[in-house]
Amino acid sequence: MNKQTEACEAAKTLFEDHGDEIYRYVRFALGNCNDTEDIVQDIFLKALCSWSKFEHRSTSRTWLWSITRNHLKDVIRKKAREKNHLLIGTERLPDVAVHDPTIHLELEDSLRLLTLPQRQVFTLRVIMDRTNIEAAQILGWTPLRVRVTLHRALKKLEGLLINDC
Amino acid sequence: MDINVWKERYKALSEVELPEGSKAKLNKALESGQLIGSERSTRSFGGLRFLVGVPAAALLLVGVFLVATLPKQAATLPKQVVMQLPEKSTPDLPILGSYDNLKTLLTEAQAAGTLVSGFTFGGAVQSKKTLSSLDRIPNTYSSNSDVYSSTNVQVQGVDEADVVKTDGQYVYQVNGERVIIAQVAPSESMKIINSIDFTSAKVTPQELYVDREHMVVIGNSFTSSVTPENPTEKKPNGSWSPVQLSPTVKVIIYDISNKANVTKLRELELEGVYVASRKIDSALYLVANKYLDYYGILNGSTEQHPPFYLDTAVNNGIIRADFANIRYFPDFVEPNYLTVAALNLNDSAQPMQVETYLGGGSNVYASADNLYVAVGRAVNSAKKEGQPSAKQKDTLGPAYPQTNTVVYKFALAKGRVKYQAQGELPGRVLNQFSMDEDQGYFRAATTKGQFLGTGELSSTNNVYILDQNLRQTGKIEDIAPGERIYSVRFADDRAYVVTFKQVDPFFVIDLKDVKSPKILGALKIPGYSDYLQPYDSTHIIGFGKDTVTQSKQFGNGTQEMEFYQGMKLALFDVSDVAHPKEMFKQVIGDRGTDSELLRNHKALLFDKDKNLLSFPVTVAEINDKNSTSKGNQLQYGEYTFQGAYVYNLDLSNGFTLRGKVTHLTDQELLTPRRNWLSNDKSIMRIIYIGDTLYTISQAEIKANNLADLKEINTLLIPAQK
Repeated sequence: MNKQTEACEAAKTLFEDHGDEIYRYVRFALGNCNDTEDIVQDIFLKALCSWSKFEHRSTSRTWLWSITRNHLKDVIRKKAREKNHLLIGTERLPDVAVHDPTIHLELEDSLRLLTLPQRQVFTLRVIMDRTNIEAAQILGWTPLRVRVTLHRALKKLEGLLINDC
Repeated sequence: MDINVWKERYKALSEVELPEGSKAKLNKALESGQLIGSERSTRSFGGLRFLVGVPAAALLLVGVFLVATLPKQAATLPKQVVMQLPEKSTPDLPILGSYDNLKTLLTEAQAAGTLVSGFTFGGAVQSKKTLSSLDRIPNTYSSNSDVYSSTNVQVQGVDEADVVKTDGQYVYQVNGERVIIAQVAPSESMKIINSIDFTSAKVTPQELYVDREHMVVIGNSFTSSVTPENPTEKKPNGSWSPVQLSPTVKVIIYDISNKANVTKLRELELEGVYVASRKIDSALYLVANKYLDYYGILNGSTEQHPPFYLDTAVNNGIIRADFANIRYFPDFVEPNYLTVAALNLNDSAQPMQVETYLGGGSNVYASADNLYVAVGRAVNSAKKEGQPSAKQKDTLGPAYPQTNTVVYKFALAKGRVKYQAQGELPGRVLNQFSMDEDQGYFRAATTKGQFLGTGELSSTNNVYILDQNLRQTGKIEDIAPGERIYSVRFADDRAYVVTFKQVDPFFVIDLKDVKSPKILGALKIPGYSDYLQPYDSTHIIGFGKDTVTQSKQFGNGTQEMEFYQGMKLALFDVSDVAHPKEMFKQVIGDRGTDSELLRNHKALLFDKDKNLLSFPVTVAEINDKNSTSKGNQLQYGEYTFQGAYVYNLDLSNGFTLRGKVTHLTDQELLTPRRNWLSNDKSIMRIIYIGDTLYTISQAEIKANNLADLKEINTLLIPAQK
């Protein structure tokens, strides 16, 4: 097997194993339905391209998450430059609205109340059921910051529940 | 509000998956190697985009509606729990020996691709269910004494830690960063006797045990002092920086002969994350999990010390496990230490036994004699055979790795543990109730495959019986293809298994012949059960959600979808095993109604002799029931109540609501929506002492007459400063 095929196989396996969770993270942490799939795609292509540089010092999953983290940083920076406010997700996007699953529109909408870091933490801790420490590792934060940010996020959402009556 | 409440509320989002179309396209793109070769830049994928061609919009959110039915991908990834067997471990398991050997093992495992399967972030418990592991439920539940109730446990005689305990006169409660001791009997003169504050000790109490002499508080803590090795060092590639604080499990044992002035007898600390504990008489067993930063190890950037522990019965210093005493499971190397600790509460001279293994575990079941630690293990057969693309050709969809469950068995005896055997089963176990031991045989129910998969990938459910050496003696496979297990209960030579996709098949399985278990009968009814409680040897109580079917438009087609509604209680009659019947059914509230009982069996108060059934519930109701607008079944109700529902339960009348108890005032309940939901007045546990029913929240303990629920007295618990 040449190197290229090997990289393809590796990337495919990564995608099979972790495609859904990366998608979930990007979608809810960024709250940007329009771009989500493109971003996920870019993350895996990046993994494919840099597979040869992967030194196997961590699991491929850890490695994939570090790619995800760095890629999202780039995306956020770029969006900020372009003043693309889609990122904070103020509008309901057609792909979701069309099929109107009451349940999760309401839920997904509520996330728009949060700041970007709050969404990231909320996604990891609540939606993806990660522990404080896991979230800290994924985000490259201290566990304390994760806890505090989550606390604020939950407070905000509680506020929402009270006010929208 | 508890984070689990949030998790439940946002459950639908946790089940969202990458749209199939997108998957197929990206898979194709990843397959075409030439493309990549010419486009090696990691900066821009502009050139690739058109080839991959994922449309920006047009996500088909298929699957999102299956709220109740989709498996949580993440939850299937195993966590590691390592138990440590000290000096005289079984000779079968090899010794780690040295740090170099640890490095070699990890390197080899990684090269073999077997490390990839493990989830390496943190050593925490993956599923909230594992935190509250219970063992087998007694056939007929009976309290420690006739006078007061005790925690609803899986196996009679094997106590499980909880947030509230009683000894018939006092209530012991984990309350924020405190433990409250309140005298509640006689109920006319309830008072708080003691409040132990853990804030300054930097311990967050989680659960406790109480017996005649002792109170055992188990909490989470952090230690930084023990990791002086390069705590701030930056990783060369700027990726994860190591967590500087080590999580620890703290166990504090008090002498409670004087409730007003309890004295600390002993303090223990284990490096790692709390997974589960059990108490059998005066023996206490703990399972913890310590994540290994093996990236740092292989990289050489950090030298990882073996996990430490502390036992004030020995001295006040830190005791480090020695590599010479750490054992590993040869064919299952995971970057985690599993620690199993055992001690005798009555013998303060006997040091805590701490056994450390390189390995993992996440679900714990304990009988009176043995403790079983189960851990998922991904097996990707195609990968191993080196022909990864073969299967890819017949199916466009992703190939999922298969998960097996590895089970480690430890013998328990009066505060000592000893490793016994290891076994492996196809599929994943759901929680502690998926496992059981009867007359030396270990039984487990698993779900194999992907819930939404088709063909070969479709899920199947299985029941296995293993002998005392964990070798398989019998099995039933392929139960309810395409569904997954929602709850399991073993009772003697029977297993009751609830699977779900559209209706709730309730299976009765005969395990009498350990070589050939068989399905005796099945019942299909709407709804599903998350928890099964044996009522007696021929009746089972199911707690879950009611469901309705609705057709949903998806692009060109329609699909039948199940939507959960209110909380459902059901009493099943299994006396005619071939034809199990739903004798009685009760639905509480509308969509949005929830109870901790659906995730944690310890929230249940059940006493057959008293015909008493009670649990905390948050009720949501839809005011305008006549509204026939579309999607009515998807509508969530408004929260109208939080508190305890108290039922009479008998075989002739079924569930009869005796009454409700809430700590919320009428005014608070009238307040629109849910601003009371997050306050401290949510009832968590219900107990009884004599003829008095007590409901316990963070803010109050309320005493009601058990017979007519007339309020007797209320004790206010002041908020923590």
